[in-house]
Amino acid sequence: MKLVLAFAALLLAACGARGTADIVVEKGWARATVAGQDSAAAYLTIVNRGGGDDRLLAVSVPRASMAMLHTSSMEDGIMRMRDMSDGLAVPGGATVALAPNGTHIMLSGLAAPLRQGEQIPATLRFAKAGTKDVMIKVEEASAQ
Amino acid sequence: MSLKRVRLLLWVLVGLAAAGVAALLIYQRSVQTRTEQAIAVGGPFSLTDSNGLPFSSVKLAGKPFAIFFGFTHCPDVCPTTLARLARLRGQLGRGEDSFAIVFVTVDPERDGPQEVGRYTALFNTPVIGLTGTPAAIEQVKKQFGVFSQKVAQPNSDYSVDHTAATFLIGPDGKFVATIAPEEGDSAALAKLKRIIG
Repeated sequence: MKLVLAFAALLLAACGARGTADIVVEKGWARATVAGQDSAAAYLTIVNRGGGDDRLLAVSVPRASMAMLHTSSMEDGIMRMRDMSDGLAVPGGATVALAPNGTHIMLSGLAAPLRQGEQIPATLRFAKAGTKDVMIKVEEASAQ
Repeated sequence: MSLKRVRLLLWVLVGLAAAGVAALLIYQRSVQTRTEQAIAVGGPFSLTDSNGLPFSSVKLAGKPFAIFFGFTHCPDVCPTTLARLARLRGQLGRGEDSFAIVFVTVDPERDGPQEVGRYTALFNTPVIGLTGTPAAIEQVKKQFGVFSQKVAQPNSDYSVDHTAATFLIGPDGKFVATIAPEEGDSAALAKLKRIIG
């Protein structure tokens, strides 16, 4: 009975989410760093299960003094990293992945190097969905 | 026409033919020189290794190597490229000696010997980290046709836009190919096989 009710509640909730953003943030990871490396990149996947478009506006990561959304883009063989001051669009129904050589979260002002195995809490702020927490897992430096 | 005239005419023709052949040979040689110059990427260089000691490219002679220009404050593309080269070298299955992986900083002001040494140690496989005086770095950049430019970032730090290709040099010290970040693994592996033979 409880299971049926729970299932029904889920179905109703899903119906109500049409036209709104229903964001899940998952698979957060970063590469380990060494002493002296002030910055690191973190990657994750954002799934917008709702029908409504949303936008990632900001990221905060207590482990670093600053966390910013950056994009790496190639032009004529030259890689340029730029601040995404307008945030990142997450259209309804879309899965947006932050991945190597593309969009990433740049963490700077690391008091101590990121160590393999560490779990780093991060909070993402979306225009519609509000704040979402995710754990960033630190992998070995040669992780892909 | 007298025989004398005919002989003269024939000799003139021979002369013209010889001149023509000579001109053709000179032209061919000049085209070849221009072609060789156009693809003269690389060449000998002198930088500083992670122990602060002089590093001459002579140390790389006779062995193929993959050389990448980046900076240690680069959070995304540089670790990704070096990690990928390390992984591909493992996949080739010919050992860590099959080709050297060389990292040259385009940010010598922040990346001294200690910085490049610590950074290249991150990947759990031999990576040669090189730095140098800004002038020495500029010289090597020019030899490889590498562009780099500092760009201010909001957090009062700076990033460096830079050529992101990995240059593959054969055991004879000659440039063979580049691997671009967006190229797939199978294309990259095929190119690496060309330098390791």
